[in-house]
Amino acid sequence: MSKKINMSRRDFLRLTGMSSLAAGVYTLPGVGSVLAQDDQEVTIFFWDGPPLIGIREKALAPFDDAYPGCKLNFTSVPGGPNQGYNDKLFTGLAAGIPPDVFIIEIGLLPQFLKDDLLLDLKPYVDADDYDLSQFPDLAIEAYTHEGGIYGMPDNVASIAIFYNQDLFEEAGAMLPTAQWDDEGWTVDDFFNSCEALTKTDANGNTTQWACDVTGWDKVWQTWVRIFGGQLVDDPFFPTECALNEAGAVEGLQFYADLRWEYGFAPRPEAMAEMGTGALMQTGRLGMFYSGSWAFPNYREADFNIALGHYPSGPGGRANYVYYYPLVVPKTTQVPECAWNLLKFFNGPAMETIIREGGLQGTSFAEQEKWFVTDPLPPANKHVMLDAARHFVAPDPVLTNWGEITQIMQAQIDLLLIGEERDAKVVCDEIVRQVNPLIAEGQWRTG
Amino acid sequence: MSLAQFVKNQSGFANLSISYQRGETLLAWAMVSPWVAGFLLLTAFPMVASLALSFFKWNILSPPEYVGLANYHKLFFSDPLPMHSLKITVIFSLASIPLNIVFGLVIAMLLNTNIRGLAVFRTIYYLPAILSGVAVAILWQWIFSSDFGLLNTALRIFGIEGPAWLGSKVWVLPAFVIMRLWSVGGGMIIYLAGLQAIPTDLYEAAEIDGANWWQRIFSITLPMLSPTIFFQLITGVIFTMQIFTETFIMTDGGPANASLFYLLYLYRQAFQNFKMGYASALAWVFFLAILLLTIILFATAKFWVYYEAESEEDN
Repeated sequence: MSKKINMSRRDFLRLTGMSSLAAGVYTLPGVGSVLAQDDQEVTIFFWDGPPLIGIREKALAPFDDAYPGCKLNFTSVPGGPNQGYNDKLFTGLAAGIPPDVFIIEIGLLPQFLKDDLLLDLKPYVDADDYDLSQFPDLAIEAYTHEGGIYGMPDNVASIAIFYNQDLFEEAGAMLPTAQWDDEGWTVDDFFNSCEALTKTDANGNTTQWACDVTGWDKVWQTWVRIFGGQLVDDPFFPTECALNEAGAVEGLQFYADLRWEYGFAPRPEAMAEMGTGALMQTGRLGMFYSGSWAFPNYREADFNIALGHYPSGPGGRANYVYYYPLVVPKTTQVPECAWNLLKFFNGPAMETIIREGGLQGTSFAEQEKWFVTDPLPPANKHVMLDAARHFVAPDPVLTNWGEITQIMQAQIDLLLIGEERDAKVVCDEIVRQVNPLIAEGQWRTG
Repeated sequence: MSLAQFVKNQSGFANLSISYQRGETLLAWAMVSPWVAGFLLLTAFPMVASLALSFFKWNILSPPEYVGLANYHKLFFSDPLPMHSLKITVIFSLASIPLNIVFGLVIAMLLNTNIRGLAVFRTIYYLPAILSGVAVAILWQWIFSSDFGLLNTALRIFGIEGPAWLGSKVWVLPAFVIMRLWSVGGGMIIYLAGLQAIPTDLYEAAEIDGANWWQRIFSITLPMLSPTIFFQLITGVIFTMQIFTETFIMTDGGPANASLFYLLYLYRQAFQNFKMGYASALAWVFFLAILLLTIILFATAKFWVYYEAESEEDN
């Protein structure tokens, strides 16, 4: 038989107030975990949406068992850095309660280093004799500052040419090479393949395009490098923009001309809003640029799809590889657990992530073992690994590189949408606008 | 009863009355206190803080550094993008606000007649107004697709080859204007309420006097509806100048900054470039610009807005 408890309003209010106070005290940093158990909670922030969010969470779930005493708190803010993730991260940083491990865009790393916010991982690397040679040298170099190491790779994501092999063979066009050091597959070969692939109907309307001309900054920047140009004079210690030098101008002009001069690429009115996917899936586009995140879209394609390298030009062969770091804030209360989590992420967890099709991977050995051997389309996945091995084009190390790319992009847009046909005009304007910002964003001397 | 006793009783009643009033006042304050606390903590304080921040350089990660008027100097004299984005926002507003008012009014007038299925039509026109901004943006991204989109497909039926709506410097602003027209149903409901509040005897009297349809519209409907139109104008200016979601989702300010609306530029400075001080200066300049515009519109109201109550007082 239940017993009715009589409680006055005053008692009720007292009880409510005390409960709220207890809950408030419990949520103070550290108190809850001390009260609950001796485990040290280590919080990690990612920005993935589905399906990667689930893959990562599943891969990291065994961490608690692998490192007794550490307890993982996994958080993901879907949508990428500019869709709420950075807001959440920076709010936590401003409030003094950042996560213990978090991913940042590589362009933000200089500001974090300048403000001395990150934990130096070098002592942990040395203590564990942790092998950094498994990662791309340039990525580790980018995370290094004054002898300290301030990040570990979250992923190494290469960009490659995805091509419809059936269309190439039907047109008798040379296939993009899958070997980095291949002497063939030059800019001329690329041009000839584009010519063979582009088809028009009796009215002169294009029915099949050879390639994509996208505003994606990493792609036009690669074309700059293929022609021997560069974005700034020295990526690690930039002092001025180099986009108005001959190689850079030539590369951008070639890239824009693929659309406006030769008609190899669809004009904006044919595809700007929808991207390349629809044209590729319907067999109206020969090739486009993307990374491993596009693989799932082509698993069931009714044509043969494969990967190839960019062509080589006066500047050699070039590429771009994303190398966003996972970092640990200096203020973390659980540095050991944070380091263990980084090791676990780049070890057992990464194997699961690669095998489930989540990422390209971080270490070369794991990529070779799991990523390259994946039998599902597209073919030639080793192209991605090759690109990562030969990665030589880091983002310029400036505290305001993100702002500078916004300025560059607005001008490059003019060239790619045909408002301005002369790349030199665009490049000169970029240099004029960007050089003062480079001076503003410098924070260390060589 | 002695005089002294009477006075004592009276003062006791007065005390009781004062105490009752005080209780009522306290209760009223208690009732509004959640809102007041919310306003002070979440609106007033951040506003004052942002005003103070506008004189600092602050990237969140390191302590703020006082820079005086440098942010305002940069905004007006060295950075071309604030004025560029303001110009784009004003052009968009000049096109969008009148069209929204006219279309909203016309649809409301059509739906103020006695036709079959009126409730269904009203619901259909109102539906877009309740959809989330992000969902609408994504939907319109598909509609505007030049190759596969509904809009250009429809134009092709008439032999017109539509432009690259979102990929062209020329067409991107008209695209946003068209898109905003789609959610005209929100204003329509308010016009509809205004139309139904107009006394029918005015129309009957005008009809007896021989007024035709146009005369009834211009001499009765529009004057009687002018407070509603004024309200829609003021809220429309504020809402339209604050356009953000559509451009953030659909174009990210492109191509070549052709859709870089003011708030998107402010957002970039604050949350992508982490220049909180500069973003605060941008916000305050924008706030003052909208405030000034609103004051001007209020000042013009006496020339064209007809308030029946005021008119009765005058008589």
